[in-house]
Amino acid sequence: MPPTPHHPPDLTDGWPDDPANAELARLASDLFASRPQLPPLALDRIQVRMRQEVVRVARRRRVATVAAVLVAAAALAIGLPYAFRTRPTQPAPAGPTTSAPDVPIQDQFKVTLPTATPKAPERPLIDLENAGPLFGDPAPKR
Amino acid sequence: MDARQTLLETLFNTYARGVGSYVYTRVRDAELAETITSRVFLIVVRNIGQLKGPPAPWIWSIVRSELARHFRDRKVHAPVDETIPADSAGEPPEQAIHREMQARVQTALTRLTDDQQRLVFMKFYQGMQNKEIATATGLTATNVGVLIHRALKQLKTYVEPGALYFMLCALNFAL
Repeated sequence: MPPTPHHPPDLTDGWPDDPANAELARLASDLFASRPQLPPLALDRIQVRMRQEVVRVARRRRVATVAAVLVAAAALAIGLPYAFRTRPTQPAPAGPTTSAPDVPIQDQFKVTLPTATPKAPERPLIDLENAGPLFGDPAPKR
Repeated sequence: MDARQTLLETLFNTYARGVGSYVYTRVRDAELAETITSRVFLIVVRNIGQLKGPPAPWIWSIVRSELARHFRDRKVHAPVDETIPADSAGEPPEQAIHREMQARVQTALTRLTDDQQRLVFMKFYQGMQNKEIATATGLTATNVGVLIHRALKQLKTYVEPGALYFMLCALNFAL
């Protein structure tokens, strides 16, 4: 916790240069010294009230949690039987519910084939005569 | 003690004195200050889940709104009581001046801007260092120093109009 209320801070810390600084420093220390303090008994009473409130808030929170659980349980207790009671008991009648128009199903499609087979290339893909060594016997002759 | 309770205890131990002191400065009534400080910490307890980041600015916002509510409800912006109370007629002069100083500071504080009040609260009432204030507010430490200096300069113009401050200085010098 940052503040250190029991030790006076450096009251003139970070002040810019000013001819009035001496007077201001005196005012600062007077201001600090003349702070009226609440009597310790008053502080004790405030602390007691605060602790009572802590207990009260915790109790209120517990009650709220219990109430929320009870409400949820009640909602389930009422809602579940109702849901079971009102759900449909027979399955829905089979068959189409809307009449479809009498359109025959199309299962034949017209396919257009090319009139001629594609021409073979004029040059062979592999020039076997010139590439003969590639297909020759790799083993050297003795 | 769970983590939440530990956090609340830590917050109380760290900030309650400063909050009480600031509220006391503003309302100048110990009983009223106790009631308002108490309300501040009840709000802290109820809304601790909202605390994200450094607690000082969050607590300050609660203090500020509770004080505003108090002054709005009472429709009282207690004017500076220029006279020394009758029951303090026999008190030593330095005590009387101290009392007068508090009265002037009370009014002067309300004339600062919100940001200046927040810085004065953190520096003089919570006793935070500039670095801590910087972390809490998102300002730089240098900026905090400059802003506090500026706030004090302004405060001085509100606190000092009479001869009181010179008396106080003279008294401090003599002591």
